[in-house]
Formats: sequence, C-alpha cells, structure tokens
Amino acid sequence: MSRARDFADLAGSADAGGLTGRNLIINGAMTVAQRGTSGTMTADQQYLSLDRWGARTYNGTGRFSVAQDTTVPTGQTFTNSLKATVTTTDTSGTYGYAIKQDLEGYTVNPLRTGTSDALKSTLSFWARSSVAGTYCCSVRGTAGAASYVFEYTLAADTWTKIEHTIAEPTTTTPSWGRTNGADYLLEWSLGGQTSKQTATTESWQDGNYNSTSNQTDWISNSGATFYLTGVQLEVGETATPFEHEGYGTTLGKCQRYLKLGGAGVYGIYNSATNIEISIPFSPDMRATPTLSMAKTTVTISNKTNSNTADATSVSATNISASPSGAFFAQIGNCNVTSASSGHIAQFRTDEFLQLDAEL
Amino acid sequence: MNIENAQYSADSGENVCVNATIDGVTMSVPLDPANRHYAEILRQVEAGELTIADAD
Repeated sequence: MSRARDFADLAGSADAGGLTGRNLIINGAMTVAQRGTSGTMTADQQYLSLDRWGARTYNGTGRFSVAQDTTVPTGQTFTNSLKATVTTTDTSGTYGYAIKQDLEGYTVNPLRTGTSDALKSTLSFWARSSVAGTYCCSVRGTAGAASYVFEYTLAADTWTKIEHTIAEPTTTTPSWGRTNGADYLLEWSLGGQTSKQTATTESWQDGNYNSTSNQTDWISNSGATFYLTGVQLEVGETATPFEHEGYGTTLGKCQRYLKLGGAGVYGIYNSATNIEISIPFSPDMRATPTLSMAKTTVTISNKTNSNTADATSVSATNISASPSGAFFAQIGNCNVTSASSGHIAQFRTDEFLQLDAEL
Repeated sequence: MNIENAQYSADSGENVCVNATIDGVTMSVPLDPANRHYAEILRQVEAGELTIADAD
C-alpha cells in the first residue's frame, strides 16, 4: 500500500471515530458521576452530580437540580445525559444561570491559545429543552477577560445536535495560563445575565460575556428541563463523530479533579478520637485537593484491641498534602473502638473520603 | 461559595490547612492557591468578608 493511501486512510479514520484523544471535553457522554446521580444547587457555583460538570448562577436566587439521566437522543450511542431541572424560578431576567465545564491550560494548549497561529476548534453537542427558543453557548479565556459567544436554537422537547466552529483564540488578553489553572471556561446559558450580554457573536472580543439578549429565560419556568450529552470540543473545523471511551478511561480523567477513596485504608490513632492516615494519589491531582467526607458513617476496625464499630459523624480535621498525595490527613470523631493514641485502625467503608481539586 | 467557621489547622506549629464549612460541608482546605476553595477563601479575606481564626 502506498504512503499516500496510508495518509488518506488516516485522515478518514477520524471521521469514522478511529483517532482517539481528540475530545478536549472530559465526561462528555455524562457517564461518570462520582458525587452521586443528582444534586440541587444551594450556592452560586457547585459541582452537584456528573464529574467535571458544574452548575452556576451569577448571584441569582433561582435554583436548579442536576442529575445523571438516561434520556438520550434516539439512534445515537449514548446511555446518559445531564438533566437540569428548575427547582426555584427566577423571573427577574437579571441574573445568569448556566451549566459549565472549565478546561485547564494543559488541556487546551493544543489550540495554541493566545498566539498568532492559534487554531480553530469545533464544539459539538446534543441538547434538548422543554422551553423552546434561542440559547447561548460561550467560551471565555482566563478570568473572563476574553469571550466568544454563539447562539443556537432548540424546539421544545426535541433533541438537536449543534455543531459550531470557534474562531482562533488569538487574543493575548488575558495572558493564557497554559498550566493547571482554568484557561477555557465553557458555559451553556440557561438565563442571561444582563451585565454579561453582548451583541457580538461568533468572534472573540475583550470582556466578560456569556450570552446575548436573545437568550431564553429558561430559569423563569418552574420545572423546566434541559438535557445535554455528547459534548465534544476538538481542534479543527470539522465535527467528527463523538469519541466514545471506556468508563475506566473517563473515570481516570475525572480523578485528576475529584477522587473518592478510603476503603481499606490503615491509620493510626493520634488521640482517642482522631485517626491519621496517608493517601497516595494516582493519577496526580490537578492541585492539592480539599478533603471532605463523602459519607459520615464509617466502619472502623481497631487492630490493636480488636474492636470494630461504626462511627456516625466522622469529619475532616486536617490535611497536609501535595497534588501527588496526602502526607497525612486526620479524620475526627472516630472514638468508637475504645481507642487511645497509638492504636492501629483500618477503615472498612468504601469511598467515604472526597478529595476535590476541581477548577 | 458560602464559607463559615474558617480556622487554620496546624501540624508541629505550622499552619497546613484551613478548616471551614463551605456550602454546608465541613472541609479541610490546603494552602494551595490553585485549590479553588483556598482561592475563594483568599478572595473573601481580601474583600474583608471573611476572617480566618488562628489554629488551636
């Protein structure tokens, strides 16, 4: 076979889904939900369910839930979608609401951001809403000092595939971080914030914009739903078929940002109530993570005095760590096994530790 | 983020993290500016909206 034939076949294999690693979005098929399958906003900016997918408002009082759902477009190879549902309306028309994924500099460096030879990229996704109308999607550079907004249209309760080629991010304002910070902020607007609306679409501009005045006020509709799946951002001007990957591959990518653990971990009591543990991270996390409890009831086996019991209100009390591991972390309220300082303990509950290095 | 009850936690006399209740959840936040929780703590302290208590 000729070298020309080899190259022709290689070029065609992307269209057939044969080239891997081209999707810059993580968990675009909405398969990984380490935090659980649903959650409802209680604050401005939160990760509620699906890994890497955040919910946010810009100071609004409206609220929506986010769930991993099985409603998917017919005839496509998806098993899950992100489902957002309005739980508290905001009819003011003043504040912004969105589904978001922030990409770190290491991820978007293939776009050559902030250089004269920056590359176009193509964003494709499936969306569906119970509220028909014009919706906005935006990309913003570090700190929101540069923005790119485009509109798309949805009919009520109808899955629609959107494909849009984003112009080259040649802007040098802001300076792109290029490392482990948030460099590319993607948002699917669900209610436009007046101060972040622009009339300029489909080109990069200075300023912090995420929608237009045409944005449908989805958040003002009680019980309204919005679905999203099959999200792919790739270098180039062509939307290739969605790059499906194994659950383990996606989970591994997500664990750079969120990791659950604790099952079988050994520790040592440094008082009658606190257990000190060390945890290696694999892969390294994006940044030194925050420690919290995914579960507050855990089974503790005291190996020194052979007592095993459930502690019902364990809490994070300390962490000294780096992105590659916790040198030590302390879990409090573990005084259920007649323990004293120096006793050896083992945790016998799965995934009760939550380590969060999200953007 | 709603941040309450922020207090440094120390090991061998050196601050290693901030313990706080963030959006209703008790968290140990490392002193890494790339950590989003610590970045927000720093922002709120700078804005005069939050005070971090000394370690016990």
